[in-house]
Amino acid sequence: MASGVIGVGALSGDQVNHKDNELSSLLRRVIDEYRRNFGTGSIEVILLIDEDAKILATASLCDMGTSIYDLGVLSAALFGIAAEGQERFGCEDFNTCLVTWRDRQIFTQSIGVVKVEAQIKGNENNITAERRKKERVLIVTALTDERVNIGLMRVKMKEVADEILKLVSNSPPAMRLLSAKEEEIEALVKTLGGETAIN
Amino acid sequence: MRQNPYVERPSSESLPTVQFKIVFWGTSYCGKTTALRFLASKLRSFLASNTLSVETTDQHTLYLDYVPIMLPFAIGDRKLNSLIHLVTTTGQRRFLCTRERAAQGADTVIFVVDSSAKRVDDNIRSFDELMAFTNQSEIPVVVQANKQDLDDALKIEEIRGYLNLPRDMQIVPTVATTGKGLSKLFFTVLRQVLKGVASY
Repeated sequence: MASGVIGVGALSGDQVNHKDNELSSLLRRVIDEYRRNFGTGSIEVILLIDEDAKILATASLCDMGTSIYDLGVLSAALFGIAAEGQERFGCEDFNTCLVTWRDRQIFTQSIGVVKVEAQIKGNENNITAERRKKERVLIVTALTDERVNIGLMRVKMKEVADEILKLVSNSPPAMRLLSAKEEEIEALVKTLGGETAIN
Repeated sequence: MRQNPYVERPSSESLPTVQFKIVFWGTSYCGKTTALRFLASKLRSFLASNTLSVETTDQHTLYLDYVPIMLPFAIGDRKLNSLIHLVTTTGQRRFLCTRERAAQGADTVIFVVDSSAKRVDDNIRSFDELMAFTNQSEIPVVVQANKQDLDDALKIEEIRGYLNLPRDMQIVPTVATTGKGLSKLFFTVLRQVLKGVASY
């Protein structure tokens, strides 16, 4: 990574450290404040990802064996399905998605967009492709038990949304990861030796 | 809003319908989505509904690409409709969990090989993964040797060799970007699936 230059240089393992950075501290704050103020239910893990399932930050109280990579991909797929609905039904931008089981919930919320310098293939006249060339939607997704009050979670997530967007925009490693092409990520996965070595 | 892409339905809607799911599986960038899109454009008049594509911002499959095709056919004197669900899975290693979900319930899997000599290891890894997935349910597999137009493309028998494929497993050479071989592939797979229907 070229020092101080956003979105330049080869993608490296350092740029995919999502467990111990300022962003993960912010996510941890969401968990702590929810516990302190409401106390109902348990949040297993919170992720900050983009619409391509690149994980920027994670936070959890304890390791419950949850695969954050699977959660990230599934959450991005939920976003992708919502985007399809957006095109088909002429809806406005994606906001939230909730999947509930008898014992768990996945709560996914879009917190805004950041501008990146990535290039993509496709039709230049396509407005969606054009938008995607310059922006990435950031998504916060939480895996919780069934007792967590999603309305309150939503409030807590909204409180940190602006701070997250600002931090991501000013973080060279985060911006480098967001602008990375799939080929670069695949190459890095190979280098690090496995599906779940990085995201 | 997206235009409705399907133009006409076959006139055989009242016939009994059998449904198949055909899944494209293979390593990243091997041409699964390109092959699916080519087939969808060729069979446009048989599209049963809208196509679905859940992809990343640089247009790689994130969950699946889906094309439903309604084709009438006959077994002996009996006329039937077939609703064929064509699905591609993801190829990237990091999308494993969605790959298996998208492939569940497949009647036949098309394993797409990137014929480039540089992709041998990737093909083997993907094929092993597929075998682990299909061996539990004994889903038939047809192999598509894609990118045969590359300078370093391996020959069919070389691909058969490094994947340890049995002699009776059919390998169809294709070039998905131009559509070469894809019609043959599609009808080979269809014949195989229909054999299964005829045996009921």
